[in-house]
Amino acid sequence: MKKNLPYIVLAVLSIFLVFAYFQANPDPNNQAAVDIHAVDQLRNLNKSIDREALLLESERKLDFDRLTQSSARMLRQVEKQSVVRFADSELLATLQSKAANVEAFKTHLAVYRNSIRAGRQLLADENWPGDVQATALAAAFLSYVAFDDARARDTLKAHIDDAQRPEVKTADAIETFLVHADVAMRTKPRVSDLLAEIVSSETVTALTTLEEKVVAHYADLSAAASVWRSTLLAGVLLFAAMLFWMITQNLRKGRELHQLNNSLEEQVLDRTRELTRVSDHLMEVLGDTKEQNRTMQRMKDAINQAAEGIAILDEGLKIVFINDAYAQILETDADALLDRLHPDHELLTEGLRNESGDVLDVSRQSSLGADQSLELSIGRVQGEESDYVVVCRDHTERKQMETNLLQAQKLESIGQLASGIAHEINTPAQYTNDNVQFFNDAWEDLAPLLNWVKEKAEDDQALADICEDADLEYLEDEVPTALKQAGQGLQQIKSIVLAMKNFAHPGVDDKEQTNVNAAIEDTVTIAKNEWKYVADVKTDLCADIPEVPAVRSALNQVWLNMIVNASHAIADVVGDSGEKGEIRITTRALEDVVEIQISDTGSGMPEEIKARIFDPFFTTKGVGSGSGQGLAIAHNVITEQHGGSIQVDSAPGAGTTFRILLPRVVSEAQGAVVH
Amino acid sequence: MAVTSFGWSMFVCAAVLLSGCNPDLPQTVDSPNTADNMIEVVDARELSGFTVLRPRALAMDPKIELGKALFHDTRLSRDETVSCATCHVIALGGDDNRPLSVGVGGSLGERNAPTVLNAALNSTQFWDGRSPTLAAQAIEPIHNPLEMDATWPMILERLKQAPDMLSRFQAAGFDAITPDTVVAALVAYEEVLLTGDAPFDLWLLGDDDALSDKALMGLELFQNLGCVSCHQGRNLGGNMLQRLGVMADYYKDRGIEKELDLGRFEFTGREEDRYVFRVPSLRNVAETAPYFHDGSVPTLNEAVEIMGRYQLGRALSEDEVEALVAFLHSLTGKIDERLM
Repeated sequence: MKKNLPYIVLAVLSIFLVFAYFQANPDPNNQAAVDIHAVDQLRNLNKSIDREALLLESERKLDFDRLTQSSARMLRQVEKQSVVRFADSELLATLQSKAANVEAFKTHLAVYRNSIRAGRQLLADENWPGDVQATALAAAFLSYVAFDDARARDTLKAHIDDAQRPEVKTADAIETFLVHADVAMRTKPRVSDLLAEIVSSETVTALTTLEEKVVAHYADLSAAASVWRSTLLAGVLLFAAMLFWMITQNLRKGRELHQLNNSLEEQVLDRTRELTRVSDHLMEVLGDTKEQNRTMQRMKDAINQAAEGIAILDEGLKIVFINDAYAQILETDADALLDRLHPDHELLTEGLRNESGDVLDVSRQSSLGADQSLELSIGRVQGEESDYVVVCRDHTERKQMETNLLQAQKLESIGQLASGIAHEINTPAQYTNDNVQFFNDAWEDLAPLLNWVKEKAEDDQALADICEDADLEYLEDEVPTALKQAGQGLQQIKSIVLAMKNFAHPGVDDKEQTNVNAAIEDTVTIAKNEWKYVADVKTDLCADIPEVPAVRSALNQVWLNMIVNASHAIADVVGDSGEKGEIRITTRALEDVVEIQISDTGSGMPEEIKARIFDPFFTTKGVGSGSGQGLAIAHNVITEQHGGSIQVDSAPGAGTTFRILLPRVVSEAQGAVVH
Repeated sequence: MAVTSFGWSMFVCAAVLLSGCNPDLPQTVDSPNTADNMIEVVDARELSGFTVLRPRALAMDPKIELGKALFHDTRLSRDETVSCATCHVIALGGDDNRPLSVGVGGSLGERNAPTVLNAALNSTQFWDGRSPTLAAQAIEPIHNPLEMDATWPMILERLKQAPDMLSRFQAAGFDAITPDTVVAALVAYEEVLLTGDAPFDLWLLGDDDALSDKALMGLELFQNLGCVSCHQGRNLGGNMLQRLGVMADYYKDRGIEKELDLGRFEFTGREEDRYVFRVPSLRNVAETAPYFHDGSVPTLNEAVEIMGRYQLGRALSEDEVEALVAFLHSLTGKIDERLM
């Protein structure tokens, strides 16, 4: 508020100056001139009235127009603002009575004029008597009219009074004359008085007073105005002084401000320089840090993407860092493992107890339940922290491959063995089969003889006895059957031998485009005897199954084998209860392969057995029930002969499912000619 | 360095407040004697007591047209039957040639209607001279119950509702329709109702043949007898007051048949104003029968005779009366057709 004080004072002073200006100019429109002119007009009109009245009275003028107009104008002039402002009621009354007098003046003057005209005319008339009386009368009249002679008036008066006396006889002309003289005598004083009133100085005085009033008023106004003018001048000077003072104040403040500003700028400059220095330093540090970070990042990236799993553990075997590869091995998110105890920490602790640098072979189950074979090495880190570094190599696949190789080698040697045995068996089987064939033919050859003997035996008792001793009827029934069975047995031996041969040398047999659906349906039909009492077979065969290059007979063997196994498995479960299990066969076309699934609701297999089912000569059945060849052969046919795969899924009590994949296109490795 | 807006606003306020001082009041609308501007001043025979009347060439303007329309507008009366022109017929010499005029509802007026022609040249209006201006006169018949019996609100409403009235007023130079502007329009019309080319004026202007011998004789008598003493000036009267019955008692001789008209006494109350009337103008007198304030004198001869006896104290002969009448006839002028 105090800061604004000079402005407030200046504002107030301005208002006062404006006010003073208007007071110093009280009459900007020059009303004074207007008023004075108006009063002047009034005086002129007054003079005009006086002059006109005098002129009229002197008989030199007859018409009242000018006098009337002047009087009217005068009355209107009095109503003007300029006059009203200054005139008092006395002046107004004076002027109004003047106007009234003018009217009366006109009225009486007209009558007076007429009366003296009439009198004069009568005097001039020839009928005017010549006697003394008449002459004296005439003289008196003229004298009165001309000079307002008192004696003449008295004379006239006397004559008039005389004439009115009834006894006095007056001539007509004189009588008429006296009437007019009477009128003249009555009106003349009136006219004179009125004129005297009209031209009296009273009005002039009043008007002069009025003028003086006006002049005085404006003089006063002017005087007051001049005082205000001085005040105004003083005020203006004061205003200017204040303004000057305020300007100088502001200039000074401006200078100070400027100086302060300069010093401020200098300070800012220094600070800026210092800041620049600090900033540069920081930039350097930042650069180094960046460099370090880059190196760090490189190392981190390298470690993260290493093929082996690398983990850094703290003293308590909690994971501080774990790379992607290890996380993958553990089948968990790297982030989820941070700050947690290593899942294999017990194993690691064991390993630590041994000398560091030792490699552990670990078999474990991943978090998803898959079997893994890992090689772990744990070592202590010499550094600021007491950390451990763990390196893990996933040997699962290698182990798997090793197992497979072993399996394959095993199978190969067994195959070779089997092949050798088969070959050895083949020869005796062959000539045995020939001999059975011979015996079959021979018996047929002997048939007519036996018939002849039988016929003879009807007649010949001795012969009949011999036949009966020989049990001929029995022989006739049984020998062909026995021979047939022998033949079958030998066939069986042959096919086994053949199968074993195939086993060792999987076929360069020709492959044909095969519809597996048809094959399966055929096989189901064929094996009906095996499953119809213990299970229902449900098929869900893909409608448009593409044909696959395959050795039909071999595959059929496989299907048969599987169905039979399934039936046996279900039979183990249902026993004699009369309930039935279910064998479900589905086929599906996938992109590269055709999938066949055969599942049963049988007893299922525990882990140990599942692992060995494809082994040759492995069987769970009792001696004499099966050879243990079925699945081994199946495995061979599918994988070796056709380049597909066979997997088994089973659990005790949950049944078994075989999943077979057959490639739709034969690969180079197979090399077979496809029909 | 900036002056605060506060300071500036105060300064401005003060200046505005103080600048409105010392107003001068407006002058009145009425401007007297504009009729004077309507007369030409010409060289003429100088005859004491007479002034030639020669009206200026008439230029019709919207104001005069408006005044003429309003003068003939019956909406200025209560029942819209009477206009100014009803009693002041321009074509018939400016009055209605009746002893007393008939106003709204058939009521009779109090005095004979004076002529409106050349009325602008009279110094006062009415038989008793009570109105100093035409404007003051115009208001009275409008409000008189025996004449037009109207009120301003009534008239203004009618005029405002008329579709073209406002535009006519505006064309005439008036801002709005008010009593003042209505009267001003009427006055503007009346001021140009001047008759020119009366034989007497023509004779004054130099035409020797304009007056017949009889009229000339009448003129001389007019002057010698003293008629001119009162009937003088440019209007041959209308500028002074005089008693009816100077040389003899007019009323006593007439006998009192009806209510006495005491003239000016009725509004001044002064004894000297008893029987005093405004001296009427003799211009167009031949057209404005019947005569005198009550319209009781039907013929001009009679009027002249009465005047001679009561005002001049003379018994006029028949020849003298006829000569005077001949002269009076020569005072009849013509009115511009555009004003009718």
